[in-house]
Amino acid sequence: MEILAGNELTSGGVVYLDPAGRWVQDMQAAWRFSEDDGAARDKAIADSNATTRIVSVEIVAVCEIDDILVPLRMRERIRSKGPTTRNILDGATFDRQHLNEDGHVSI
Amino acid sequence: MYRYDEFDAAFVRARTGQFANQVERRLKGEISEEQFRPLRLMNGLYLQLHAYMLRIAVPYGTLRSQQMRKLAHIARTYDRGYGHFTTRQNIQFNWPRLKDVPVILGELGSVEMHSIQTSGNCIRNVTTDQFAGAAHDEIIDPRPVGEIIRQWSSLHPEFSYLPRKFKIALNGAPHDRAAIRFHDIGLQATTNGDGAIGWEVWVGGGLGRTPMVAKLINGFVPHEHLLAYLESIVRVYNRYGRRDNKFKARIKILVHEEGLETIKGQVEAEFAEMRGGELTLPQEELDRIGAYFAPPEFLSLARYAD
Repeated sequence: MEILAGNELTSGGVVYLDPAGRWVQDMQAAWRFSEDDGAARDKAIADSNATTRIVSVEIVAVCEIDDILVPLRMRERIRSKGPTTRNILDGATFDRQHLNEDGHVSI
Repeated sequence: MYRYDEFDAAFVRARTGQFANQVERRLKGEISEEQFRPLRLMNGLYLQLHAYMLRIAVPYGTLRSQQMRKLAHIARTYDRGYGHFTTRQNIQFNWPRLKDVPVILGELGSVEMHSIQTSGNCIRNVTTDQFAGAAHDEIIDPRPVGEIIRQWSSLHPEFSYLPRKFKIALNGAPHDRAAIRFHDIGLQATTNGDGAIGWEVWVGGGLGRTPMVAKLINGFVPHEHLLAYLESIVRVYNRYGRRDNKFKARIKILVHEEGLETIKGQVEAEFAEMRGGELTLPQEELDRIGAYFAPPEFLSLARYAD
């Protein structure tokens, strides 16, 4: 099974393609492509690249454990759990960029 | 510490304006990521797992308080309030947004800093001993030589698309405080039998997934021919370095696979052609650049005088 991951153009934040063609932050909401879905997957990649708003679109191999998506590669497992740095420092809150800050991220 | 000359100031301003235009075109969708990637990399901007990362050179490892305050301002205003100083005399900001990067570069330019060639497959910022210019044991202050190498390598048209990144370090004292044998080229100041100052040239060192200690390719290159010798090495690397596999593309792999003697023969053949040509470095130019490194008032401590 595979999903698609990428980075938002403006912030570089990690996003995943969902079945509705939107790029979302929650990996568990990602579109799950089976072996038979290669054509749909490739079309989704081409459509995403055509928007130019998602960078480094990659195919991520995953498995399901108790209905939870788990990437097979260590790199993607780390990436999917988000940055390990604190979002609050010296009282200031630092959040990632949100998708509505860039109006063109969906395909 | 180094201060910009007039050419640097205009050069950095022009480069910042150029990159601001490239970012604007990227955000508008006028250029693709494939087209934009080498442009952002030449300006020190990476895309990492979770965010962009901007790498900024700290020339020769020293900062004025004005520069440090500017870095703090950038961290607070455009990032998360902190930065990461690296082992190769850079600082990295890990959370900038793409639209802010040209503004950050403009802020840096106002305090004589930049991120040019801190990433990408080009000659990276030249590093040296952090005590350079102040160490009592040094044979020569390596910073003016480093600065000349920086000026020679900045946007060098022949070396903007090398097989892989290329790092140079130089050390002016007998004790190596610049880790020169872990660089693509390491330069060690030395003297010959006549007391003239020149450079031992080490090649093919590096860390990463295939760590290697550099090998001595020339025991004494006279000062005035150093640039010609460096150009000879990088030219050989540019011609024969592997481009099919990024993990085997560094010069350390080329030296290891071809053998030092083979590489040395090729370098010396290039050097024979170039020696005494336009890359010959006059002492007056060294002195002129040296003036931009005016030393502070050092105390004279009698107990360390020996």
